[in-house]
Amino acid sequence: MRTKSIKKVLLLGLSLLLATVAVAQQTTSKEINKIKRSTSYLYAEATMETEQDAYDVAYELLVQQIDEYIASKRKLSKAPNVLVKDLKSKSDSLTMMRGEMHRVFIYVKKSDIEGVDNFVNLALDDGPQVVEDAVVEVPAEDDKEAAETSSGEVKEAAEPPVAKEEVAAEAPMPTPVAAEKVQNPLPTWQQEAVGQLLESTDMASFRAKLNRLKAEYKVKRFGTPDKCPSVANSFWAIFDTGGRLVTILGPGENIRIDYRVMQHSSLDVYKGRTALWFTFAK
Amino acid sequence: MKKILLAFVMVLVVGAMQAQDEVLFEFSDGIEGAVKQTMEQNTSRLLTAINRAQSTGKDINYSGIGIDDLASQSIGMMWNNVRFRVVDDDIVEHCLRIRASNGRVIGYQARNIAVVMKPIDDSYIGDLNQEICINYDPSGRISDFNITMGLQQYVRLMKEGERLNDADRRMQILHWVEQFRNAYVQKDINFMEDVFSDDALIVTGKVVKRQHTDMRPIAKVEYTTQGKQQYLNGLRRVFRNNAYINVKFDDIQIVRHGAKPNYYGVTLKQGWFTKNYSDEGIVFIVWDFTDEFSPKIMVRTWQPTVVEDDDVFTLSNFKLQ
Repeated sequence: MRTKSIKKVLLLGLSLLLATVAVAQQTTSKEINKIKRSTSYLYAEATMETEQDAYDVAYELLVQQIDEYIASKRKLSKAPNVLVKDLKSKSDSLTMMRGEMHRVFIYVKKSDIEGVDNFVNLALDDGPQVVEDAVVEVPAEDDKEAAETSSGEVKEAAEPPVAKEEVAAEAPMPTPVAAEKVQNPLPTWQQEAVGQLLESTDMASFRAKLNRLKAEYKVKRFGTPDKCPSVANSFWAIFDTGGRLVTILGPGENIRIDYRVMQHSSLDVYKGRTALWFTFAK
Repeated sequence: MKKILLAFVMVLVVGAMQAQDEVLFEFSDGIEGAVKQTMEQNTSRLLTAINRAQSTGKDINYSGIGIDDLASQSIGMMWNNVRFRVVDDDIVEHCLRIRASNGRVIGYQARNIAVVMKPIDDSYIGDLNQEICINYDPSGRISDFNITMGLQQYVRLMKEGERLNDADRRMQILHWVEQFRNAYVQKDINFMEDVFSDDALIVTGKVVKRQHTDMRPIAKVEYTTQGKQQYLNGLRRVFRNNAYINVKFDDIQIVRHGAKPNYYGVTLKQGWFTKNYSDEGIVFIVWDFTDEFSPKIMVRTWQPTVVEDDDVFTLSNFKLQ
């Protein structure tokens, strides 16, 4: 008799819990639609397996929405590559479950992005990035032999993206070995190609550009460090822990040109970083 | 008295069930006026009809919905393989404009409509939670209906398109790639007949030897080539012999041909799943967008994933006439 009563109470408790969750989900959904219907906001959403993935994709979509919104504003049309300053603090987000998936909805008030003073270069605040590829760490010049003969240890890109400030605190960007600007020794078409590659924000877009340049017969070969036939004769693209492109180093034994800052540098400076190599067609 | 009460309860239950199927769809931005209203009405009715058909186990009733035959056939083919249901009863979405290369709006699109799959039997292999996109002609009539690919890929490709100033063309390509994938899932051999150029080249790779050295395994791949009809005959057999086919496209990359701007190379990772067989490979497709309303596939290659980055087919491997 007593067991039956406990069962009933448990069942009632469970039903109440489920009902509360359902009501909470419905409330969030209604709140999302209310914001979507309002003309005061720009919004984006994504439903993915993890909340972090959903947030990252929704954030990217929101940045696109803001870009389009800015482009549509005539007074700001001369500044298409701008983004609202400190978007992360200006935007807000709502999350809810959709089956086993996570739905993240991010929104920002249009009034928060209308002042020209609020704008800075996109490159200064590019938000969280997803590490998309499995990557191999860059070999030091000393490790050339090892890089050419070992199978290369593939590091899983499972770490969650970290905030920019955290990256800076944990792993400060190396400084070039010499501060003097150097002349660009590359022919014009290679300078243009390197310029295009430097515009990449992450490894996926970098690879896509390499593929395109290869299709245009400009890039001859590219790959991960463990498959590099000649470390000294290759260009090296260096990525940070968040998967963002740091710089491109030109060919060389010890001294190479850092094409981001046009100063001398070396592959040893970036030992342990993730990287891709490539060579230009002759 | 009891009968009246029972009838009343029945009416209430039926009413509640019908209300459960009801979906309200609205665009928040991107379109205004009468066309917006037409699109919203057609979408709400279609999504409600889908839910109702799923609840009752009947076919979808398209009466009162402005929808092209091709779109309803596309839904019908999907419906024969797997049933599905719209997750939300109140949907608000952006309206995306599809433009021709001259900038003219040639249609609209709604994305991110969440559906949950309700498989008919255990032959279904795939995610239960998916998203669909609906295309409209300029008058607001539903012109196409597809299950969308991953949102991450969409975001990346569109971002790249913005930088290269060909976002409109990329949206078209993505739409055709989505249709191409769905044609496998829907076993739509007519679409395949239409989309492959008559002189299309189909290349299929096969791993014939794996050599393990101290450095790394080296795979030797042999390639066979087929013409359009030879490939489609094989595909017909595959469609006939499998109750359900699920095809996934990932890691999509789009490259425009340097000298022939209407030709695009699309590289993607293809996952192929049937009840008794599955594989993963790299597919490279050359699309000819000379007729942007009816683009053709000139080349389709499949390579096992063991091939080196460097050996993956690109536009430079093919001489286009």
